[in-house]
Amino acid sequence: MRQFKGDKKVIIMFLIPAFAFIFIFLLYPLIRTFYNSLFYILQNTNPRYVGLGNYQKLITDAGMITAVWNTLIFMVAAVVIEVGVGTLLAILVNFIKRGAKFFRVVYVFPVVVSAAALGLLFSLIYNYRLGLLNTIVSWLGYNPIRWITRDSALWAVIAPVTWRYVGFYFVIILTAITKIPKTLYESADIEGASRLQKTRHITLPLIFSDIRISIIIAITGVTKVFSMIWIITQGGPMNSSQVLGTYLYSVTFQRRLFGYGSTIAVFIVLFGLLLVVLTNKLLKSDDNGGYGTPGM
Amino acid sequence: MISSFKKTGLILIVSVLFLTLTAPVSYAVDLDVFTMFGGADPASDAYQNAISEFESMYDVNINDDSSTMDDAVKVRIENAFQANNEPDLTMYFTDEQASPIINSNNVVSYTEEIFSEYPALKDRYLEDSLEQQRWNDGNIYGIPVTGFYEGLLINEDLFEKHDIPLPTNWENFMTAIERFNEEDIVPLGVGLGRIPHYMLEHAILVMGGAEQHNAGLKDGVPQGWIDGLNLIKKLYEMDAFPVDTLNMGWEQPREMFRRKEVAMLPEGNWALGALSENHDTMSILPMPVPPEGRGEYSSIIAGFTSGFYISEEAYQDEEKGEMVIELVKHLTSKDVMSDIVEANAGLPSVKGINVDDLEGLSEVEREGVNLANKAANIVLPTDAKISRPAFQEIVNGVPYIVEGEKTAKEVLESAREIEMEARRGEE
Repeated sequence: MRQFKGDKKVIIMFLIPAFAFIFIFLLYPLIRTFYNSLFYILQNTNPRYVGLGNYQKLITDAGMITAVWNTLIFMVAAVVIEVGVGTLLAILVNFIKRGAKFFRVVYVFPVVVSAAALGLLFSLIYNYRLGLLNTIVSWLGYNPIRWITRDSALWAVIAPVTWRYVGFYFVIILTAITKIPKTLYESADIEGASRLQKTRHITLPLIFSDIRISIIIAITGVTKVFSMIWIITQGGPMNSSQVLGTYLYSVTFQRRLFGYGSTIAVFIVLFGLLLVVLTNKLLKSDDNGGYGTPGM
Repeated sequence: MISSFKKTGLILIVSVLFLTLTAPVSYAVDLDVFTMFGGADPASDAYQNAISEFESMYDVNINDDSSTMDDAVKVRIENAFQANNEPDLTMYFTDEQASPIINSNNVVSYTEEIFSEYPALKDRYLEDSLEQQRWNDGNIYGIPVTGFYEGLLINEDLFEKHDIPLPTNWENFMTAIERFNEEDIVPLGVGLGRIPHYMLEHAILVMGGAEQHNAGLKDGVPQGWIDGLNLIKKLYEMDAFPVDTLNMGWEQPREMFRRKEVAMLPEGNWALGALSENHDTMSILPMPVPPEGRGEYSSIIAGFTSGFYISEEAYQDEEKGEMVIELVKHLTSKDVMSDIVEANAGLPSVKGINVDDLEGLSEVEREGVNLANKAANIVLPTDAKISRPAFQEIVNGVPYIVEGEKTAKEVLESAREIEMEARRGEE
């Protein structure tokens, strides 16, 4: 075995299958998508070269601007609700001695249910005539409410999407918390530290790198959100819940504008990359928060 | 030693049995077929029976990929033709939407090739049904199964119960909207936010008349189209639609109609299958024409806008060529066509089918077919006249128009720009 170590031919031979896989299923489609973005392609026929025309259109497209703005709001909500609530729940569950397993299962459950099923569930919950919310409202003696309006639609889709992923970040953070050496808490107990002080000075600093990763995953994940929104609102009413994923689908599949759809896809890739870099930079400066994370 | 022989023998027997059971059964011909008769389509059982019958008649295996239509399925089919990976026989639209199929040059022309070799296939068709399939270049690439019609489905019992006259004219239609609103029943079941299509088509037809409806957008925005969209706004302001119409597709209005929460439903014959339990208390009428409208009462949206395409490759194939023609003959035979008409209440495209003789049709379904037969004008839907992105621009613009954020003219001019851009691409 050692005789192969450092043998470039062997290394290349082992790398080729993985590279071929990445090239065929990731790089080539990306290159092709960029190429298509330079053409006007209707229903995948007769491409007509338009240069950067699609990119110019992208800047002035009202639907696209709404989708980007909504995606940014969605990202903030994802960080606050998914990561924030997930972290809070993980800290709280870590405190309790009985029933922790029960809460672990309950919080993780929505993650394993398909997005399509949850989308359908929430579209029924919001339904004006037969929905759960309006049934409760009627029991209370009030008139039914339109839950999905132009003003509320974005929040009506943010709620189920972020709720679904709280459990995912809960697991990540809880796993990180359980890795913290018990001795640190024992010393804090001897010093007479309260739970809040232990959380503030031991738990949070030691799980900060996991929180940072969670924030990056949550932010980039928003660029991929599609199915639940499509089932609940299809990006409407009047684009009010349109995000990048739904707008891409609408342009490509409903309007059949494959060239312009490719332009939006290129934008989503670049937008995602930019956000990762920015988030990394923003959080890196505060990395460890000056507390230091030995052995983490 | 004996035990070893027994073990080897057992392994051999199991292996032979396994291979026999798992080996693919070979047929003389395998045909890949796609139709719209999949899933919950009312004609899916009739179609499956026809396929089983065909398989029992010939040494053939049909790989059936039929599915109900949505945007994702349409794109899949269009891309299959573009990528030279099309099914041997495809049922798809024959109007504007067919351009990626026909422009792929992967389909055979019936008029140039098939009809000259199989004249009986042409002779079985009603002339009008075949003529509607003619493409811009004068050829016919897809031959129809059943046609469709759209109209105003009426929950007649609700009108009787509340003593409201049927909407056979504009005055009655307006009265019905006002009275049903008072009775807390939704007058018109339409999801303006997602699928305003049938309302849109009817509104343009009654306000613009057949001529303007058919004009499309290439020579400018017809006034009738603007008036049609404004009519929808007027009805919206009268609370004619469900409260949450801006967040609805077609499913909820149809379900509300079934549950008698909606009095009138602009829809097509394909909806009748899902409303079978209401048939005894339903009727179907043309959309009434407002006094200022250019349309004629009894003009309806109907026609034959889907058909069977045969792939060039399959037609030229020694084994598949004959078989695919036989399959088309079978699926468009009088017997199979009658079964499909009974199932989807569509318009028969071949000669010799009298809908009054079809016992499987309910009274309202017969009424629907006769509505099409007696129509003053038959026009194809709006999306058969303009390109896909232009049509979607209008669909997306409807909520803005009814909410007063854009005018009908603005939306239609924007759609026209998109239409012209799409047509530039065709040149």
